Amino acid sequence: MNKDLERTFLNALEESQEKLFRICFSYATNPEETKDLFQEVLIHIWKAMPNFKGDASLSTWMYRITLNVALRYRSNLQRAKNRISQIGSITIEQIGEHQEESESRHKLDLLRQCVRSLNEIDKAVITLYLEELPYKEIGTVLGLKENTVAVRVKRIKKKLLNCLNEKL
Amino acid sequence: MIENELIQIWQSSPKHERIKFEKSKLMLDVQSKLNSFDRAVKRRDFIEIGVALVMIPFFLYQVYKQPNALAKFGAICIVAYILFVVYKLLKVKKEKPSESSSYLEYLKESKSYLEKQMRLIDTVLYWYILPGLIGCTIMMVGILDLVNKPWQEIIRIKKIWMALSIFTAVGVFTFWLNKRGVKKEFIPRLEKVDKLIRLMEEE
Repeated sequence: MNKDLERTFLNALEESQEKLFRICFSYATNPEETKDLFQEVLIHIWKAMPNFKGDASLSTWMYRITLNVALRYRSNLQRAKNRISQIGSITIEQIGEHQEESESRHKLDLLRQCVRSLNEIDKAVITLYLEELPYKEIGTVLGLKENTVAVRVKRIKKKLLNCLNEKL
Repeated sequence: MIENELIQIWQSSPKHERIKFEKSKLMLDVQSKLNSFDRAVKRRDFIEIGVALVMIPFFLYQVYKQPNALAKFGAICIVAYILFVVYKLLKVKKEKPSESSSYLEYLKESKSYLEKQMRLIDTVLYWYILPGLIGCTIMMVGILDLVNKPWQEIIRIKKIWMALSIFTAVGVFTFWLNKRGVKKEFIPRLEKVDKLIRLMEEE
């Protein structure tokens, strides 16, 4: 049973790790904090795994936990730092950049800055949108109606584009 | 910049940084962190609740040992008080928000949890400090048999003043600590959660 759970967890993680990591990045201020948040998310997902009932897809359920842990993370930051030492098996690999990649890196940094400047709700909506989740799934993760999600995404995209164009 | 570019830029992160983990070690690490997290929670619960529970046998023994009926009654009151405090603490702990709820539900559950905790802390005087003080005072009155002594003699007993000073100091300090917790921790968190719920619910 535990082995099955472990396999499900690892497979789901392998599938969603980049997405979860990007979401964590928008709630943290630097790579170290992102790693802390990511590992906290993993611990909470693993802890909640036995209670996963399958009423939503596993990835939707993982997004829910990620956003809820991220929401709480900032207010508990100091406590979390005291409590959780680093998980050694998780590392962030920085990849060397060519000239053309450094421009895309710059754009990514600016986009992250703009996303971080949004309020918590807009940040949650847009990070899921940027991960290309359908509006219906975003609604399920956040507890919003599909139409409300669509309206919000439109408004936040406008905000983001303005923010980026100002910075570029 | 066009809208579709946003998604492209956002998802370009693997070109620049990548999260890596060793599958074989990860489960061991996560489980070990979860165990240490659980141990920390158990330790905290033991400090809050276990300490109160280990006092019960002491006061039950006092019920048996003390010859004075009032002292026995005071000890019974303290045992009942400890059980009530433990019940209150356990009750509020049970209602923690579920992390697998949707974001809005999680916010609402967090709000309700924070409000309950805040109410508990805000009324600490009535369910924690005063009943404890009253129980201890009744027991002291019984042990020293103060009911049968003239007040002129009572006010000369140093033990009474010392005990009353300690009870009051502990009570005032606990009251201050909890009020400070409400002001510094709970009110700002509740305001933040409230604001987020309003933001979520506005169309």
